[in-house]
Amino acid sequence: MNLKLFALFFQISLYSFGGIYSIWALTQKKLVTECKVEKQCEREIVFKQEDFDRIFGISRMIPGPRVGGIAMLGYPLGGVFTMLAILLGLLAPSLLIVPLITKFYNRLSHKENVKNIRKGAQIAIISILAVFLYGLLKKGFRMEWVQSIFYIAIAGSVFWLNKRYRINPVILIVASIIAGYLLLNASS
Amino acid sequence: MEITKLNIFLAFLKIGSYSFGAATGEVLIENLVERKKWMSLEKLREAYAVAAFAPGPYHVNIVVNLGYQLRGISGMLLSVAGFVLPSLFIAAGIAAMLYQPGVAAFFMENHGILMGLQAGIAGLLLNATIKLGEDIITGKTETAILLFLLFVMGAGKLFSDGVSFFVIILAGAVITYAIPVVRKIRGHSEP
Repeated sequence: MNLKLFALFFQISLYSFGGIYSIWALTQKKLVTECKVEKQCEREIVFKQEDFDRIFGISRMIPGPRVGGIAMLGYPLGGVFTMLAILLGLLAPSLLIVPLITKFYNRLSHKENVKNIRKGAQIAIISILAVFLYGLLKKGFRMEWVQSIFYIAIAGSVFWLNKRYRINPVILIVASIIAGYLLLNASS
Repeated sequence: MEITKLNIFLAFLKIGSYSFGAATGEVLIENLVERKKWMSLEKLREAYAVAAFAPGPYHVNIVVNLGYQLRGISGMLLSVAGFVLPSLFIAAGIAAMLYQPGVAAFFMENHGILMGLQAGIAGLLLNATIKLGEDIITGKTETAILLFLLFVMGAGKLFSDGVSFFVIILAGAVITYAIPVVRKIRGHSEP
């Protein structure tokens, strides 16, 4: 079964472009949604929607890449080794493909007209980061208005303390978790 | 600090143990660029671009690229191992507790913990975006391209599931490649 899960998550990772959310979406499609209609599902491994949602939520609180959180899906099936099989399946495409692209890119990047291309790619990176930021801020406005103000206040103070006083991100992350527990928990 | 195999592993072990989601950028800048001075901001921006052209988890792709640039295949394997190990340990610990009553309920009821964490990530991400962007978005042309790409992504979100990262990066690259070419053609025809 571990080998099957490795192959399945290798495939999921290989087919998903655009970050961790497309991996979650594909996992949900393959292991939860497709299997709701029984006849469509030929898999032995199926997850309940509520288990999937729970692990999806908690995975956001785990430091490091979110692939560790996805690997949690494997724990009830076969413990830590199954988690490792899922994790390696998700990592393998990156380890195989990224070095090739990096090599190709490094070979080209010395050429003069590639500099223009690089500039556009870097502007695009900034726009992608801005969209991430928009997504995070939008979440803050789905609460009551007092909590939204607290949410923005936490985000703003973390930004200011990090930029102005160069306070370490670890401290700021821990502080914002505590602030969230105290301020944002109240009425939800 | 010297770039040895052990140091690469330890550096990414540290990065993996407190980088949450989109705040990873700020943690990478702080550790690799500002404190250890192993690479320039430019290299990090390139890693973000290269990573978007590969499938799989985005931040893992970035770390694979950085590790590979620092010390080839062995650097790549060590950096990825360091980066994912903390999350694997913590995930295993949580998974072991998750199926006991009360533990999952605690996380679900205390929604504020997650929201606070996300507010903190937003603050760090804003700082990383400014650091990575301030020497790129310097003039009117760059600002216009940035706004155009944001518009495309917004429109993509409205009408479909959204536009993939590498489409956006490709679009940005095509625009900045085309601008000097177009200028040259017009320069020839105008006088």
